[in-house]
Amino acid sequence: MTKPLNFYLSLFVMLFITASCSLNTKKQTVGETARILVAETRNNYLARIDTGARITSIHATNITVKDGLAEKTDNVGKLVSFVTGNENQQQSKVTATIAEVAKVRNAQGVEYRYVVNLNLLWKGDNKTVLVNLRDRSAMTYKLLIGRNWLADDFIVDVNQSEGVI
Amino acid sequence: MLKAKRSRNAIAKGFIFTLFSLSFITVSYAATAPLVCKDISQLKIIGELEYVSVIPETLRQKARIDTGAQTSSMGIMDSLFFERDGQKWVRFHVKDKIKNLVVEFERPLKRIAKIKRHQAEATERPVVELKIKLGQIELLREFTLADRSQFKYPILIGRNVLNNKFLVNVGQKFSSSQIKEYEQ
Repeated sequence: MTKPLNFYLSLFVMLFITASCSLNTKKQTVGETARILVAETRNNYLARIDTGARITSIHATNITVKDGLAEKTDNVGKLVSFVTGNENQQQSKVTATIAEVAKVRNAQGVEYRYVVNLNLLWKGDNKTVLVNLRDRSAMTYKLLIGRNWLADDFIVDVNQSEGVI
Repeated sequence: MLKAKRSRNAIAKGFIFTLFSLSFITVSYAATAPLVCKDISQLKIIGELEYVSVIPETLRQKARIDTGAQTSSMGIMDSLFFERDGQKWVRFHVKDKIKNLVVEFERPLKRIAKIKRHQAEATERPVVELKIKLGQIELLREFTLADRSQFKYPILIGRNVLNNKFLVNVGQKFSSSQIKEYEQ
């Protein structure tokens, strides 16, 4: 009689610990940086996780719009091609539809950037999010993850990291 | 008969073995699991925007929680360096956006931070140590003093405050403070 009791007791203890452990960390945690696969480029990017940024941003140069007009806002819905590369200079050319034009305010003032949908993969999470295009060649991280990728799914723990450049 | 007895014996042995291994797993799990999840569960979860108080001036401001920034930053109206007891100090004024008044601060100057900026000239900012309160947690941390007038939130909380103390859950806002105090 005692043996089955023992068995159920151990099962209960295990369940209890698992439950209490996951209670606080229902959402997956992500560190200050993460290695994220940008499906359209087939390359991994070491990304900076930035809760200060509204939307995600990727390094892009040679941005050309098919049948593009001078005013950026007139090009929404058109195809945009750009060259992007990760921190290891693994480059690729991507063509995507312009989803919107974002007004970005930073320390240098206001600028307008094209925004496209890109498919980002990290640890089993597969999500398509809006990403703005910017020349980040002077910046360390070629992919900046903003709140639109984090929202509803991840909690940021800056004590964790997947690499620092 | 004999065969049946032996198989029953084997089942019993198997059962005891399972029991042993299960209890072993349980014990090792019980010993390690709290250690593994303790680290994270001890950290307080805050949102993308929080109220931050500066002590002892009791200046309370809205802050943007920014994992992309290394050092925290406070928006100031002006700054003036002066000497006190042979040490460099900085006097600065901050606009209290909630109470709509100006608060004067004096702190020893810790260092001057050189800020590299994309598409702009490098700039220098004074760095001071400020004692802040976020939720129920009080911390003494370095803050760069900057003109943040073009930004919506006067305080920027960077990784030097967050590290080992807070987890950031975007979408959540002003969760760690009694906002009611200011709504009266």
